[in-house]
Parts: sequence; structure tokens; C-alpha cells
Amino acid sequence: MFILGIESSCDETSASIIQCDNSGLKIVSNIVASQIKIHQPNQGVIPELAAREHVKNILPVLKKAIKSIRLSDIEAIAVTRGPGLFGSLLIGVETAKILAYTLQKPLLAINHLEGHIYANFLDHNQLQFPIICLIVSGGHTQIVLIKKHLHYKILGETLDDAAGEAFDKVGRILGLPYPGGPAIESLVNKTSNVKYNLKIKLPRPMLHSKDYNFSFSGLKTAVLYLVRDLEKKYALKFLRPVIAREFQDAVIEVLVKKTIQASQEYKAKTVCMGGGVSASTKLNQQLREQLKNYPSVTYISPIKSMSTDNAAMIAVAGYFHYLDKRFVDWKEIFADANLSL
Amino acid sequence: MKFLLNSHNATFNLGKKIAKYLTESTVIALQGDLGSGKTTFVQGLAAGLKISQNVLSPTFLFLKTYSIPKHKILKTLCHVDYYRADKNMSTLTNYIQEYINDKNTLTVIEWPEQLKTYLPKGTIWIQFLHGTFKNKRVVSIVNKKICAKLSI
Ligand SMILES: Nc1ncnc2c1ncn2[C@@H]1O[C@H](COP(=O)(O)OP(=O)(O)O)[C@@H](O)[C@H]1O
Ligand SMILES: [Mg+2]
Repeated sequence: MFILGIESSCDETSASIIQCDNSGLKIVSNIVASQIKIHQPNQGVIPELAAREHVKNILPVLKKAIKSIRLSDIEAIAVTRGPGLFGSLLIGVETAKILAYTLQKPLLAINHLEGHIYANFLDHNQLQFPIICLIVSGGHTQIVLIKKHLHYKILGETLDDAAGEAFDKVGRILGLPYPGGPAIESLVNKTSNVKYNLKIKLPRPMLHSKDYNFSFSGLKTAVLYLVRDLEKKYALKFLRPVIAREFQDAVIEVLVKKTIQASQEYKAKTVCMGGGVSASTKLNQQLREQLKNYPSVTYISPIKSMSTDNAAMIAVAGYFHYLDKRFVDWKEIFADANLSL
Repeated sequence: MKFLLNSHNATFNLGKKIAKYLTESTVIALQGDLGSGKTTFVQGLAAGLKISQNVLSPTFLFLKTYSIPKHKILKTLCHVDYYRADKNMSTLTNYIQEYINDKNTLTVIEWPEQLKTYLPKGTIWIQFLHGTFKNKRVVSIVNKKICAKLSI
């Protein structure tokens, strides 16, 4: 059985075919047209540009994705309904509606964050419940408990800035290119052998709060104060790697500690991640290492190609909607920029 | 009118207090650098309007909306962040203007400089500055009506 997935919530236009059968889930195609090059000079996604690019990209991307199968072989169409940029979401949702209508196939409305969770089912179609999933991206920082398929409980989330946003803003304070996360990680890796005789310490916000919420705006401000103070004595060029390393450590320490804590409280059998920040090698490594102390938990490393937005993960979530017969009427489905899990 | 605010809570409370004086559809423009307290102020505003949802930074999505319960006139809080934006974004600008023109919406804008030409005359401008010490902020408000109420 083939499922077509469509994703256009932010700056990637993507279409994918996945094949689902008893032996598991297989990606037949996963075409992504990314706008990162267009956006880079402006340090972020620009909705006007993003929407125009989606319009330009959607049909060529679809055509490539379905090249190796017949249209009539598609069993259902899954599309990201939200959250995201309204103008961008619209393109994918309307395209999917037209396809569902003309092909007379069921339409499946997917939450983008469900996609990030279900991406983990690609390599392992049997993940043991309960699952704890840490969703970390430019727009989200949440710990989600999944006790059974399609049932989500948000245990905690950021109270201000998302983790990815904090990386971008601190990147900007340090004069690094956009996006900040990869720029900070690569600077830290490049200078990992250098010894700096400058000791700094940034706060670990909410590390000891007894809940699963996060706060990263104070960390951003702490970096600002630090740069402001230290720039009187040192060049930014010298400060940059030292602060980048400490900042990355601070964010990761909080994310890892709370995720593990949630896995214990809710007796999780599986821990996984999703979203752009899950591509961080250090975060992945820390989570795996520390979870070794908890043998009842299986840690699923994120699949690298799934950390950026793509339609295969939407199709996978769609497959589970399909099994649950969660079909939606094309006349009643609209893009929803503020959709929550 | 200038306020010397010594803590996160002071900024939050200023927002909460101002919320009480808003009786009609208004635009509030918040100017100030990263970390100067704009989002914190909006969180206070939202609390003052009895919005129970967490107000998170709208930087990534450019705009977030919240519904205001139990207010005679204001039904929606529209929280805009133009941090990553650029002036040639007609789709977004049009979208924001719909909220600005709505009689039941309170629109609050972080990084409003690029939107200046679209903002109505009665826009309340608030400026946030980092103080010389940690946790200190200097907030200035230029608006006769609000300042009169705040000084009572
Ligand atoms: N007096 C103060 N007023 C506001 N925020 C303060 C103050 N002192 C410290 N802070 C901290 O500074 C940060 C302000 O961040 P935020 O409100 O996101 O700023 P902005 O939206 O302007 O970037 C918060 O972490 C807050 O706790
Ligand atoms: Mg802000």
C-alpha cells in the first residue's frame, strides 16, 4: 500500500511516497525543495517568499515523488494541516484537497509535530509504548508522552523561547551565521581541542523545577550580559567559542535531564526525539549515554534525514491515521497555523 | 513617562497594569533590543487580560493569536514579532493589517520599526532599554491617555 505525504508548513516544500506492509514502512521517494539558501541572508524564514516558493515548487516536487508509481496506486493522502506559517500551510493543504477529490482517495490531516514523532517509526515500526518524545525545533520545545498510537499528552513545554530560537538568537549575538544551532555546534567541534583559560558559567534555566517546562529567554539574556561584560576585556573572536560551548552545554543539559526524568516518571519503554535541534550530535550523544543507566528504556537515535521538515514523516503519521480510519472530509479541512497536538 | 524596572516581575506587572486601561481596539508597538523584556511585557498584558494560555515567543511564526475571555470589547490578542521580517512582505503585512483594523483586537508588535507606515495614529509606543546593571530595564511610554492613568 502506498501513501502520499505532503508537507509545506515552513520553508520546505516536500512530497513523499511511502510503502506500508507487514514487513514495515519503506520510503519510496521523499523529495524536499528547501529554501534555506533564499532565507539565509535575512536570518530567518520570510513568509511572503516562503509562500511564493511553495507555489513554484509544489507541482515539480509532487511529480518527482510519484514518478515510480501510478497515481491510482496511492491509497491515501496525508498532509500537514498545522502548526506553521499560514501562507505556507495553505499551499500544501489545498493541493492535498484537490488530489483527494480528483483521485477519490481518503484525506488524512496531520499535525506537523505528529510527523516529527512518527518519523521514529520509519526504521522501527514497532516502538514500545509508553514513548517519551522530545520535540525540539525553532518553533517548539515540548516533552510529549504517547501511551498508545495517536494519543498525545504534552507533559511540558517552553514558557518563552523555543530551544532552536535560542540557538538562532545567541548565534546572532555571537555574530554567527543563520541557522544558529549548526553554526554553534560546528564552532564548538572545531575548537574542542583548544584550551581557553577563561572560565565562564551560564545558568541552566529550570533545571531543578519539578515540572517538564523549559525557559530559554533568560539564557539568551545571560549570554547578552556576558558578552557585554567580557567584550571590555576580550575580543569577540576569542570569546565566541568559549561562550558557544558553554551555551550549547547549558541547553543540552536541561533538555536531557528533563527528558530522562519524564521517562522515569511515566515508565517509558522508548525515548526518542524529533525536530530540527534533534540533529545535534552532542544532544543525541548525551541522551544515549545517560540513558544507558536506565536499561528498561530503549533510546531511538533520530534518523538524520528526518530532522529537517519532510513529507515522509507526514506520510508515516498518515499511515497510522489510516489504520485508525481517521479520514477527513476535504470540504471541512483548512490550514491551522496555531494547531496544537 | 519613564519607568525603572528592577526585575522580570516588575516588567510583567507593568504589562498587567496597562492591560486594565485598554478599553478599545489598540496597537502597541514595543521597541527594544534582544532580551530587553518585550515578550515578558506581553506575558504580563495577557495575564492582565485573563488569558490563561502561556504566551510564548512568536519569533518563529511571526504572529500568534490568543482569545481574550470576558472582555467587553477586546476578543483577540494578536502578538506579532517582526524580528526576522523584512519590509517587502505584503502577505504578512496584509494579514497583520486585518488584525490592526479589527475593532475587537488588541495588536502588540515586537520589532515594529519596519511596519511603522502601517500603524495607526493612536499607536502606543513603548521603548525598552537595558540598564547598566543586570535585571534593570528602562521603559518609556509616549501616550497621554495611558500615562495619565498610570500616574494616578
Ligand atoms: N527588569 C526586567 N524586565 C524584563 N525582563 C527582565 C528583567 N530583568 C531580567 N529580565 C529577563 O530578561 C529576559 C527578557 O526576555 P524577553 O522578554 O524575551 O525579551 P525580548 O522579547 O525583548 O527579547 C527574560 O529572561 C527576563 O527574565
Ligand atoms: Mg521577544
